Amino acid sequence: MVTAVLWVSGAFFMLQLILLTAIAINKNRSIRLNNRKLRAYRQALGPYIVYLSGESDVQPRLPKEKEIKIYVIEKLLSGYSQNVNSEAEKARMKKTADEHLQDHYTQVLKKGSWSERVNVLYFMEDFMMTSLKDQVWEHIQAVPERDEEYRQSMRVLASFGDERVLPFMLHDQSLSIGFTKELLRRFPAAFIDSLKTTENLPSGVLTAMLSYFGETGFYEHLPFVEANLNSEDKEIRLKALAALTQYRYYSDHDNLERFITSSLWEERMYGARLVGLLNLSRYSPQLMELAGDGNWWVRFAACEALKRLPDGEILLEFAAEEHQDPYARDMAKQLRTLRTGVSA
Amino acid sequence: MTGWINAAVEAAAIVIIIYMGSVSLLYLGMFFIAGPRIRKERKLNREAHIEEIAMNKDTFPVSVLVPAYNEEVGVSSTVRSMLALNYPQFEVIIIDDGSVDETSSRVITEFRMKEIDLAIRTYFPTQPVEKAYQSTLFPNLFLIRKLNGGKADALNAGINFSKYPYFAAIDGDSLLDRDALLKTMKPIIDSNGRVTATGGTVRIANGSRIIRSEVEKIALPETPIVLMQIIEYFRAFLIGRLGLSRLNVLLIISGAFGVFEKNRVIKAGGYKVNTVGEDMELIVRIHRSLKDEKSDQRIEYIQDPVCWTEAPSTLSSLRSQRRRWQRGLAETLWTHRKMILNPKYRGIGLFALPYYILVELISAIFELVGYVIIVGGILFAFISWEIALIMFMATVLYGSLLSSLAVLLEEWTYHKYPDVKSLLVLFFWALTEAFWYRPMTVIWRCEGLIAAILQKGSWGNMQRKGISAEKEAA
Repeated sequence: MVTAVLWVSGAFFMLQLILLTAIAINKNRSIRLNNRKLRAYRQALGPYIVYLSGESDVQPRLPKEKEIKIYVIEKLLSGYSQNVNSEAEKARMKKTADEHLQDHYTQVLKKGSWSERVNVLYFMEDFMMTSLKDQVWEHIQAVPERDEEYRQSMRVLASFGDERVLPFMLHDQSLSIGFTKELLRRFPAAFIDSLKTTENLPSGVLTAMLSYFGETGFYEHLPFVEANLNSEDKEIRLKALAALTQYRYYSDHDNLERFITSSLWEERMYGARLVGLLNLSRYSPQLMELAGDGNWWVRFAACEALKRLPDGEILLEFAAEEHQDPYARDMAKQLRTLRTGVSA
Repeated sequence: MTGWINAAVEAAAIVIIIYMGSVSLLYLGMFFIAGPRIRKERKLNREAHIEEIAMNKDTFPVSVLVPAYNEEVGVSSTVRSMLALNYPQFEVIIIDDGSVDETSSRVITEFRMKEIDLAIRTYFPTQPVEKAYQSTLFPNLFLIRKLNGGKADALNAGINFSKYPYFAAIDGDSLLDRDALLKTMKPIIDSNGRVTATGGTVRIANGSRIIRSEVEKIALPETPIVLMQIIEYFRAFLIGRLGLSRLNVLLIISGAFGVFEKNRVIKAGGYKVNTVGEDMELIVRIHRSLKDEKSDQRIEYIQDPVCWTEAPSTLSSLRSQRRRWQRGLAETLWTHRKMILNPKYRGIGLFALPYYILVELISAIFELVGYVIIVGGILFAFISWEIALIMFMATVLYGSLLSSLAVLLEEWTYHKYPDVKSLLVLFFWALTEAFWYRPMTVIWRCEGLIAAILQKGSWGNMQRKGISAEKEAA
C-alpha cells in the first residue's frame, strides 16, 4: 500500500516536473520568438506604411520565416485598417492581405484550432478579404456550434455583402436582436431595402431593424418606423417609439396623446420623452400629470421632458414645490439638480 | 486501552486518507473539465473578440457600484480606474457606507462633486441615504452617503439609486482592467440575456507595477504569504470556478467583481444584510429563484483576468479574512440547507452544495485532524509509520501538488508573468504549501467554523495600503 501511494505521488510529482521543464523551455523560446517578432514588426512598420499609403509602389520585404511573417503582416494591417480611409488605400490593404494571408487563412479555416479559426475570421473582415467569401460560406455550413465562430462567419459574409447570409438571419431563432443589428450595420443598402418589403419578417428581425433605423437616423426609413407604431405587437411599437426618440422626429404630434395616456408604462415613458425631445409645450399639463405617475421611470422621463421645454425650469420649480404628489415633488427636485444626458 | 485508542486513531487516519484522496481526485476531475475550455480559448485574440461590443450601441448600459467603508487610501484610484473603463455607457456610484475617515471628502474634492436632490426608488429597505452627489467633471460619477449598514446594505442602496438594467458590484480596493466590463458583459450580450450574472477572474495586484490606476507590469510580490495567496487564487479560479461554471453550478461570484442583471437580483430579494458572505448567499438565492421559476437563465464565469485586488499581507489580516470567509460559507450553507440534496435544485442541490460542504467547509476539520495525527503519530508513535507516511503524501498531494498544477495551468494559458524566474518561484512556493501555509489557514478556517456555530466573532477590517501605492516592481 505504502509503495503504491509513494509511486502514485512520485509519478504525479515527476509528471509535474516534466511539465514545468517543458513549459519553462517553451516560455523561454516564446519570449525570444516574441522579441524577434517585435523587432521584425518595428523594422517593417515604416516602409510598409509608405507602401500601403501609396507613396511608394515597391512592396518592402517581409521576414522569410512564416510564423514571423504572418505576425508582422497581421499586426501591420490590423493597425492600418483602423485608419484607412480612401478606396485606393483599402484596395492596397486588401491586395496585400490577399497576397500574404489568403493561403494561410484558407488552411487555418480547414485545419486550425477553434481560436485560430476565430482569429482569422476577425482579420478577414478587418482586411476586407472578399476573395475568401466562398471559403467562409463553406465554413459556416460546417460550424458545429452556434458560438462566436458561427457569429463571426456571419459578420464576415454580411460585411462582404454576401446575400447567402440572409436566410441564416431570417430563420435562426437563436440570434439576439443586438447581433441581428450587427449584421444590419454591415449589409449593403439594397439588402436593407429588400428586407423592408419582405412579408412576415420574424419579430426579432423587425425589432432589430427598427432599432437600427433609429440609430442611423436616415430619414428614408422613417415612414417604415412610423408605420410600425400601429403594430399589434407591444415590443414592435416600443421599438418604433424608441427609434423615434433617436430620430427626434415624429410627423404626427397629435397622435402622441395616445402614448402618454397609454395603459403601458413603457409607452407613457417613451411618449413623455418624445414630447420633451420635440419641445411640445402644449403637452406640459400631461407631463405635469405624468410627473406623479405610479412608475419611477415614467416620472423620471416626464420631469426630464419638462426640463427640456422652453419654460422647463419654471415648470420643474413649480412641480418641486406645488405638485400634489409627493413622488412628483421628489423627482422634480432631483431633476433640478441632476445633470442628465439624452436618455433615448 | 492503549490498543483501543491506537485502533481508533488508525481508523480516523484511514477515513482522512480516503477523504483527501477523493477530494484530490475531484479536483483533478475539475481540472479536466476546466482544461478543454481554457485550451479552446487559449490563443484567442482577446482585443478583436470584444471589439464589436465596445463600439456597439446595443451593449447594455451598466451601473458600477462601489461600496466603500473607510477606504480613503484607495478610493480615488479605484474611481479613476472605473472612469477609465472601456465601455459604451455606464455610471459609477460610490456608496460611502458611513465611513468615519475622509472617504467621501476625498471623492468630493478630487472629482468636484455637487450635491443633488434625491428621488430614490426603494427596491430594498436600507439604512437612510443622507446625501447624494454628482461629479461636475464626469456626469456619470455619483457618490451617495448613507448611514453604516455593512457592505450588503451599501450595495442594496446602490441598486436603489442606479438607473441601468445591469450592475457591477466592485470592492472599493479593487482595480479593473480597462476591458473588464466588456469581457464580463460579453456572455450576457451574446446569450441574448440568458446569462443573468457573470464573474471574472480576480488577481492579486501586490507586487505589480500600477500606474494611473492601471496594472502596467505584472510582477510577483516578495512576501511569501502574498505569493501563496496568488497560487491559491490560481487554483480557486482556474480549476474550481471554471470547472463549476462549465457544469452550470457556480455558487460564488467574487465580491471583488461581478456583473448582475438588476431585475433578477430584485426578484431574488437583493443582498442579505445580516451575513458576512453576502456575495455567495446572493448567488445561491439567484440559483434558487431560477430553479423555482424553471428559468433557463445561467450564471457564468469568465476565465480572463479582469479584476485586481489587494491581498492581505499580514498574518493578522489574512487570519481575519479567512475566518470571515469560512463563517460566510457556513452561514450561506445553513441558510439554504433545504436545497442540499434536493433533486428540485438539480446540479446545485445534488452536487454544488454538497461539494461546498464536503470540500470547502468541513475539509478544514479533516485536514486539522490529519495534521494532528501526522505530528502526534511521528512524535508519540500511536499510529504506524506507514499510515503516517500515506497521510503525509495525501496531504502533500491535496495541497502542494494541486497548487503547483494550477501554477502550470496559469502559465500554459495566460503566461502573464514576464519571465521564467517568476514561474519557477511560483512553482517552488506552491510545493511548500502543505508544510506551512495550509496548516495555518486550516486553523483559521476551523476558528471561523466555530465562530459560525457560536454565532459570534469580531471580524475586523484589513489595514489597506492601497494597491496603487504598492512598491513598484523592478
